[in-house]
Amino acid sequence: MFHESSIREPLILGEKDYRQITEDVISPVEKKPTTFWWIAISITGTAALWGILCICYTVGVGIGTWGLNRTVGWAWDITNFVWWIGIGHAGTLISAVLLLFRSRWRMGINRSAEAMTIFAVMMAGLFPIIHMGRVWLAYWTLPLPNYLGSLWVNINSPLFWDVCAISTYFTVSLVFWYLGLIPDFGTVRDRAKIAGAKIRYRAYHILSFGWSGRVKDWIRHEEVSLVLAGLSTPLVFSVHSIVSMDFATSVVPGWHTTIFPPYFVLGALFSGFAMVLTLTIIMRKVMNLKEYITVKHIEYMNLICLLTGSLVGTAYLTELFISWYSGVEYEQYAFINRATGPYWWAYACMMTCNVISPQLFWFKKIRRSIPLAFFLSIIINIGMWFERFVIIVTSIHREYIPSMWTMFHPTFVDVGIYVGTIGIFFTLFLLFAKFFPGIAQSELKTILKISGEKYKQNGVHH
Amino acid sequence: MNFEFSKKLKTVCYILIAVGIITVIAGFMSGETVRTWSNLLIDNFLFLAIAVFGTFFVALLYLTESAWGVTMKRIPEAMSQFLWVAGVIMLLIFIGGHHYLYHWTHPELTDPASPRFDALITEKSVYLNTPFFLIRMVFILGIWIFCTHLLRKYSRRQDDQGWQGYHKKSRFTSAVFMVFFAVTCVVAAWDWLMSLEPHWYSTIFGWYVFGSLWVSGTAVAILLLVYLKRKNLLPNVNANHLHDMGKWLFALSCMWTYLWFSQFMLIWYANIPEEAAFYLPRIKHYPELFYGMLFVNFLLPFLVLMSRDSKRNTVYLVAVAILVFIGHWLDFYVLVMPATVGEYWSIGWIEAGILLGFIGGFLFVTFKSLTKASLEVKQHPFLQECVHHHV
Repeated sequence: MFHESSIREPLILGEKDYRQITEDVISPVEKKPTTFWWIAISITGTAALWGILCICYTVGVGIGTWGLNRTVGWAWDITNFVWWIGIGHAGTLISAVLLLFRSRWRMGINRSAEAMTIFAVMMAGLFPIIHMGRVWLAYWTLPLPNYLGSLWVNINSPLFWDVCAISTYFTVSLVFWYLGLIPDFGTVRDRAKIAGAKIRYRAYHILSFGWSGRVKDWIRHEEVSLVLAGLSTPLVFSVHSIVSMDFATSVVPGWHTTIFPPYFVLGALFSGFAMVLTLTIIMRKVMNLKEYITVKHIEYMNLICLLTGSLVGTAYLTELFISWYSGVEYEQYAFINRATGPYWWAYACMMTCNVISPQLFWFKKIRRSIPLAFFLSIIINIGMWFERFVIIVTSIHREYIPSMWTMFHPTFVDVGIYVGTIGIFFTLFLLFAKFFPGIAQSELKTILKISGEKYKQNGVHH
Repeated sequence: MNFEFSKKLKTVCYILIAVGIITVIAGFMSGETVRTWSNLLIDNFLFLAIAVFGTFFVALLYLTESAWGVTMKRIPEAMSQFLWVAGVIMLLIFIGGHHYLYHWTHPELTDPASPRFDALITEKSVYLNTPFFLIRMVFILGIWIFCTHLLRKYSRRQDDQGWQGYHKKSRFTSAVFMVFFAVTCVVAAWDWLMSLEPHWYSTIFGWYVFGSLWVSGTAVAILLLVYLKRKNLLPNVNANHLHDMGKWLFALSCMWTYLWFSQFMLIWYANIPEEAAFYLPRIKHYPELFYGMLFVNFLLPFLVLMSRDSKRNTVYLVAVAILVFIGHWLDFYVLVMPATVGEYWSIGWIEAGILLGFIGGFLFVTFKSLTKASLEVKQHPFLQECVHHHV
């Protein structure tokens, strides 16, 4: 018997029954896209095209088209890579870790968060590949026999660990996401059959892998979900830990610090949740899902932003304090230069957006206000972009020899590719929102009689 | 249902405490001064961590709106009552033993005229100096004890007067505690453990010690839980609740290992002398403990608690919890000893005696406080959810 305390807020609002949930979630897939959708996809599509042109230009001419120089060999591109990977963290946390924690509120948002994860990891993966210059040789990063023309990979290199960690993460996230979609695809298929929509029926028939909805199917489905949740949980931690090791295994002051793995993971969750907030706040309005993605969902996500933002803040302060405490002058200089050097504005922006702005969520009114949550979620993502910029560029733009000192100036190609990935990301997300059920409706139905407003009011427990 | 602190159990506690006190006296008299002080620090820090875990765990349940732990809430509450004892002993250890334990307290190190002058420690003396260190210690312990006291008070009043009002107060206190705890537990780890080797530094150190604190506290909470369950004192705690505690022990063992590995691997990989100076003596002189600890704290809990059945079986659960407890005693041993006695270590009667003394003291305070409040939580908004909890 499940029992839910009366002080918990309902997670499904309004007079809902199983049929109504199906109707609300599946019908956008069946209808023609709205004007808003067409306008949005034209804008994101244009940005995506521009990015693709810039990528082609880079591949054709070389990475000399970027603002990199002899001292600053990693800048805008790696910043974007880490930023996107970070955003790709919340999806798996929501679907795996919150599943293990039995948090029921994850069910309203897990589908879109997982989609976001997959698209974000794809965007992240682009950057190291185009940074290689000769993208057609990207397969050399895999451990392949030498007769294919490649050299055996250096397993001591964190860059190789990255290839392994990210490809594993991407695969498991994709399988997890798709697994959850199968029963919902089945629903779309069955409804298409009744409606007589032949093309839709064919398409979703293939996508649903012959889902029958029998008890046996469900048992297998739930077992695999739990196994995948167990597998993904360590992956949530490993991916960003290994990304952090790209920097921390070096001996560059400002990069080599032991707190990096857990601190990067927390920062990733922070930015990931901010992006989930941005996306779900738009989605609940445009697709009219306010009764499924409620103010309480937004409040929970804001609380996670408050927690992870504050922990990231303590990590910043720890780094600052220990750099002084270490007594190593290079270490001390790296941090003084960050805060007061030529890039002080990036540092100030990072501190304000990441540490100070989430503190507003201590106020219940602010964390339950949708416009403010939306605004702050964007602020946080700006801050998290600057965090990676600060870590990467300010640590290497000063060398031991002052003659090597330089600044980094992005070119239009740097900016273009970044804007392009944002365009591709949102285009993919819009396509997802149109063609795939945006909420895990079959999963959501399991909590209807526990957390549904109608049932809570009537005091029915199941 | 109240816990009855039997005469027999009391006698056992008294004997253990006596063994501890006699060992400390004998340790000092036999000339093993540094070793005795070091052992006092190791055991006291371990039990201080276990006590503050109690407060942390209760606060965590409140803040995350968790229901599953409500019926066992009295156990972490009772564990946290040892905090003031461990706090006082911590102060006494620093006041009495600072010259033996904390190298930086020697005044000649910061005196430019002295042949033992140490430029690095002099630079750090703005932070590492006796008065400021003591102020920090009193402040940290004061806040921990104050929040512990409030949470305990609200929890007991809630039982008599209903949860309305007190639940909100408890949540507020928990939030305040968490904010302070996030900062102070890191500072405490720097001060009380990292400054044993004042030249060495690591940014992850505070979180690493926090990992040890959380996992060792969970192990002790499981042991107490099973003990009280066997006495039929916790009718509303069943295999499902044990299962959840088992999951925590499993997950936290992995988390501790993750933090251990992050620190070790990065320092090993970069191989900078200033940092490697921490690991070299440990690998050279303490290899059995240094590597053995990983079996006890990671591999065994990982393999044994992997299956669902073992997390629901008290025999396996208790066995792993005892191992993890010993493992984290070793963890602190390997943190402290190389900094104080260097390569001249051995585990003998001093180690055993002082550890037994602390076990006796901790159990005495915990059992005593268990008698003072009903073991059953009567009023809590999530009580019914917890009673009907099933995994």
